[in-house]
Amino acid sequence: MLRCRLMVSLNLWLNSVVSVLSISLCLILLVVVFSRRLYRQLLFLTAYVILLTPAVLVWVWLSHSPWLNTRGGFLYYWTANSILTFLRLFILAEICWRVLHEYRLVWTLAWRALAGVATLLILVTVYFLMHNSHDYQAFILTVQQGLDFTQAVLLLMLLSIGTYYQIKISALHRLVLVASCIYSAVQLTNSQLGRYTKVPTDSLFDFVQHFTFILMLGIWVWAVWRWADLPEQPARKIQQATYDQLSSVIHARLALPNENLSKMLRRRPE
Amino acid sequence: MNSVFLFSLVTLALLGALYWLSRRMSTDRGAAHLLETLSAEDLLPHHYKYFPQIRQALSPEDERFLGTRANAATRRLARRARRHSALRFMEGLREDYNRLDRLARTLTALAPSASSQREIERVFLFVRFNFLWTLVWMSLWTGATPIVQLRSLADLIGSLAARLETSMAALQTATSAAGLKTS
Repeated sequence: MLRCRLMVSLNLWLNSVVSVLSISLCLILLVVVFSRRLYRQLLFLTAYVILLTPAVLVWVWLSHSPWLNTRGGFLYYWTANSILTFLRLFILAEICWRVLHEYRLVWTLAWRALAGVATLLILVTVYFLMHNSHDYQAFILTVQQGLDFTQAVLLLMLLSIGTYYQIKISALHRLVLVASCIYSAVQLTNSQLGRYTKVPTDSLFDFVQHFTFILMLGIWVWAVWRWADLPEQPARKIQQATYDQLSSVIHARLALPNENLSKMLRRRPE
Repeated sequence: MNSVFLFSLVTLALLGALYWLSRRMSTDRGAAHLLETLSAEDLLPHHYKYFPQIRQALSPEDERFLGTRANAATRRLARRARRHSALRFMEGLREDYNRLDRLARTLTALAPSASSQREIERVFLFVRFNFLWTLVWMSLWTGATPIVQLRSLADLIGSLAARLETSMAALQTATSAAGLKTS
């Protein structure tokens, strides 16, 4: 009995913390986004924040109302989450374009690789969706899991491409990506936990989701507040003649050790 | 609940990769900075200066000399030491290759119009080099390949060092005279 009462008060306390933090961070983010004119740098993140604020307000109102455990509340809970997850893919696409588009060849190769991987992962998600279409909760969890995994993989691919080609990603873009990746990676496991949760509200699954979301918002607020008003640095290039002259020499230099190693393996011991 | 455990492993792998990449990104100073501060010394094969010693250690004359003068135990010891040097040389060869590959990537990123065919070939060469390097390293380690064959690699890198030095001088002249232009 005592344990039950403790659980209830813990739930109430956690709910209040989640509500207060979510609303305050959303409002702070909204204010910071407009005061730092983020729409000039990240249009989709601005749009996401504009949509997120009413979605969170509705959710907090719903979680303190009798409609929480109704069919409408249930549908709102899952649908809003999935739409927000889907919208984050657009933020990623925009950052990807902003980071890479000035590096022509890297951009050409990168967008094909990213689009190919995204298509493959979405097709895998669709395949799993067909096996989970009997139940709305299982269906939505599969959508979320698929989108979160796709997003985490694409984010890591973008960061890998940046590191591989020594392309500087600004602190704002990097922090937005890192926060998004943390959320997506944690949600991947959390969604699996959600499959074993009959009533999602006030469950471990629910709190993990809310707290990782709060963490993501916190990092975004910090990133936008600290870095959004810094001007974007244009890409620095070398002369085309320098590239033409050097790349052929380096290419030949890279090819020769290959040939020699290959010969070494073919040659019979003397 | 086993699936939750499996998914948590995937999550940990993703977070680990994110941590590693973030650390790399915060320490890397960018392609333009790399080219600005580049010196010929950074890119020339570092391990080339040890070639005379390696060449001597790997020569068949050295092997024959040991065969006539040393007893079996000493010969075994010497062979082990030679093998160790050969493996260290292989590590050095890979280091030199990676340094040059990094320069090639940097040039591709910063060029106004880089060749996609050459870039794809470079990636292919990189994969091939690492595959072949692993095979040669393993065959040296197990003793399947006589270390004498490494001499040809030493000769190859030596002959290319001078060529690369000329190219580096060209790059430095180009970057300091024209400067890196902002697109």
